Amino acid sequence: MSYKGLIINFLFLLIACSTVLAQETPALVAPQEFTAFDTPNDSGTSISLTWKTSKENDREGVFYVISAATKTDGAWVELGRSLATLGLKTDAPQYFGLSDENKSWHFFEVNCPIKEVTDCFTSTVYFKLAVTDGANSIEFPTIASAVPQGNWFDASKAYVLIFVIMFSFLIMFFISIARKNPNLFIRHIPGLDAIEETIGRATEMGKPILYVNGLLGMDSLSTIAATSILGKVARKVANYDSQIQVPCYDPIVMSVCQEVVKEAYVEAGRPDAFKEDNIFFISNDQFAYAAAVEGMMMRHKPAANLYMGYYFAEALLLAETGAAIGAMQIAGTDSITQLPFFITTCDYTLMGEELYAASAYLSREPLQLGSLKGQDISKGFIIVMLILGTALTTGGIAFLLNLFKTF
Amino acid sequence: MSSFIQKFTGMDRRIIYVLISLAVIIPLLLPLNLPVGVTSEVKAVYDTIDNLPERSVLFLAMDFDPASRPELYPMAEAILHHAFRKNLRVIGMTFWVTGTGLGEQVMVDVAKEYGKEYGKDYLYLGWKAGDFALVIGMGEKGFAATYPQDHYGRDTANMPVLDNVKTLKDIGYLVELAAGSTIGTWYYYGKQKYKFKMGGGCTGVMAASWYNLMKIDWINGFLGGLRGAAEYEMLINRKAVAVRGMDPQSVAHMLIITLIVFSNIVYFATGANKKIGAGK
Amino acid sequence: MDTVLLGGWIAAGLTLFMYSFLYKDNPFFRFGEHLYLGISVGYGVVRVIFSNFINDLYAPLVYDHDFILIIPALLGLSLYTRYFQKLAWISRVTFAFIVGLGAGLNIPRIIDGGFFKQLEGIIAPVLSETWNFGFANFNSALIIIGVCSVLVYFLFSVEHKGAVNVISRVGIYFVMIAFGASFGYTVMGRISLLIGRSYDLIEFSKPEYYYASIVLLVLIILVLAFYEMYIKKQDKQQVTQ
Repeated sequence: MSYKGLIINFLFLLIACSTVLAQETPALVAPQEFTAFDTPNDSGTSISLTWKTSKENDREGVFYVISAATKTDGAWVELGRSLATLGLKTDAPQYFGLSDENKSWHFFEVNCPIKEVTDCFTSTVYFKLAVTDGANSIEFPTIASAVPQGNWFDASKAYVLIFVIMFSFLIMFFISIARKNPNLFIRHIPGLDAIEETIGRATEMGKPILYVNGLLGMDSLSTIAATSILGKVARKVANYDSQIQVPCYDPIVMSVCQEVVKEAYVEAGRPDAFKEDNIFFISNDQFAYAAAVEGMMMRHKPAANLYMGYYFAEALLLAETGAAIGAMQIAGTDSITQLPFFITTCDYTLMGEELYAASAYLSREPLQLGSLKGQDISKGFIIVMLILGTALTTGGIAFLLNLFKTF
Repeated sequence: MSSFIQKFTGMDRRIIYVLISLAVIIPLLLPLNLPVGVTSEVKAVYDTIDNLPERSVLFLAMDFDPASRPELYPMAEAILHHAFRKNLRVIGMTFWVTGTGLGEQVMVDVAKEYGKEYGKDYLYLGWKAGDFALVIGMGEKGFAATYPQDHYGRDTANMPVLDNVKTLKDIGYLVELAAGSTIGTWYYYGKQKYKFKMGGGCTGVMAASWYNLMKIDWINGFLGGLRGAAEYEMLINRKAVAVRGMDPQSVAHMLIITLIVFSNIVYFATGANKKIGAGK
Repeated sequence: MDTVLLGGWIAAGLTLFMYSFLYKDNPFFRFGEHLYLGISVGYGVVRVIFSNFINDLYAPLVYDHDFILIIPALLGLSLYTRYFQKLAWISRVTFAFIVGLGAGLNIPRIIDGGFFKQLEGIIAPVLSETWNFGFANFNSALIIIGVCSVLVYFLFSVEHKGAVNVISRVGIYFVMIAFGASFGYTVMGRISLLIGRSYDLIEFSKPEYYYASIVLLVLIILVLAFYEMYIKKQDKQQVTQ
């Protein structure tokens, strides 16, 4: 073959290859099924826009352009540009669920007020959608419109309401049972036996008992449990003719504790022995309170320290000081971060729910007993759901996992 | 041998206090320059801030007081250095009344180093009572409506730092530095509804439980204790207080581990475990 | 007077006062304790008055005529009626408001974000799609076993016997391991706090601060030594009497 022939063949080869290799850029198509609607389950501050995805448009370098106006013939303001490869309905499962169909739809949320357009407030807003790759632009032929409206009920959180109703009925059912039968079974809690032992020890040594209620207010479950246990402890202290000191972090807790201890002394037939000054407020600053209680321990050297309630970093400070003075210590807290310190420094520790159970165990109040029973049933239900959910998810069935999905 | 064990078990705890003090003070005076690795949790916070577009808003909730200053102040410092280097706008505030001065001090000191202008590049809202009500206010009504005046009593309504940023929905990232349980407040009343990105920093006491928060997507990363602050300082190439603190941290830990191991050997060797009954 | 220098001496002094507790309870610690108590309360009161009372109540009421604020103001003031027995019932209105608001705001959020989110995080496959058991699957299995066994431990309606006892023992081991991790982190945290204070004490021992830490440490040791000798002398005299 001659040189000319070779060159011509080479050129043909080059053109053929470039034709094969060069990918034809598909032309843009007008977006399909463009809709605007009031975003569900919100306070009336947003409008949702959806339109169908397309293979021709959804590629790098292509944008969807959204514009808004308050009138169809009004001044249109560009709100934003959404990259064509992003912004799908799957990004908002709280509105559209977890269906696979959501992958075929684009989604764009417009928040009110819309700058330079309108404050919204139940007025109709009009939207235009166009697609552009920088060089070309095609508009969806129809204008979509919507009126943002607030919703009274967030339907996407309906599962919370169902759960609350079911759980409440369970608790109320067991409270009614506990009212008829206050001797419902609660398993033995070892730490409670030690309380009587500590009070006896304190009486023998002629030293006071220090009862610390924790650092939260009366709205906290642990403080409620602590004051309930305080009542039982105070009754025993009154019977033994010992002394109890209750330094308080919260003034309202102090008033409640004074009432509880006074009532305990009256029930024990020793109203004259009650000293209101033994239950006092110190400070509602964490470390100032801790420093004051530590100082008290060093000076008065109580025979027994009871820490019942919720604690923060001062837990170890208190328990260590108590250990240093040789006091017998019993703690009960639902503060997970402080439990390790109480376990290592105290003689007995009631962990988490054991504190609430101890309160129910001692008082036998139907409200506390019924709540405990209802919670136990719920725990059993959760254990079954978790095991079942794990088994199903392992087998590729995501039903239970989706049931617990939160958005 | 038995007299040694007796002396050891009856040892005055003040000797241990002295040993720990020396283990901390000596490495501070004579640095060992031990290496500091970086964990994925801290890197996640760093990467999020690093990838924020310029002039987006970083919201720094400095919910700590002087008691937690040694752990959380270096975190705030490191994050602010990073934020100002990236030319981000920073809004700071606190839920702890005794931490108001600390938040102000760290923002002003770091901003000065970068020549940042108050009201334009950063804003300090200070302390205000309200907790969750403030979070809901910032999410619904906006920053200016919830805090009409900043910490210095100036009107926030027209401050340039709040341009195009009205509510919590508009911020780029929120970092919660917590000495207490305020992470719950920010999640329940903030992120759960307004869907902003959130990261955090906490004291060493709470760090173990914060891994769970990452698993359930409350936060995308966090700095745990002084160690977390040291890792962040390594990432921003600014070795300061936190990195210096890693030498005494390591030496003290080695001392504590040695004492624990030795004590347990003595405990089991003396048969003490059999003598002490149930109850603990 | 250089306030930074004065601040340095006060900070070093008070730090050493509080650390003197490690030796034993003494007047320096007690002074620091009472001072901290007073200052924290005083600072809190001043901040609440200026940041809340004046900025959020007085100024809007008096200057902006925002009279709706009278309602929350009255609700707040009614809490003080608890100190007067005949009027104490009025405070129940405010408590009802607080409890109702708290329950209404908290319960749905905690159930959604705290409870269901936890469950969502726990349910994960223990075998991969190709039926392999990798590290991630091992993690998932460990979590599910730990959660279920701990929940069994905290069942109070069932006696811990037989299989329930075995499962609850597994649960308590998980709990103790978790506590060990938490304890370790907390030890780290406490050492960090000590490092922070030591760092400041070292700063305050520099010539710029006129060796504040060293001078104060020596003074405190000397005073405590004399105090100890004085106490021992007093005790001896009491014994001889």
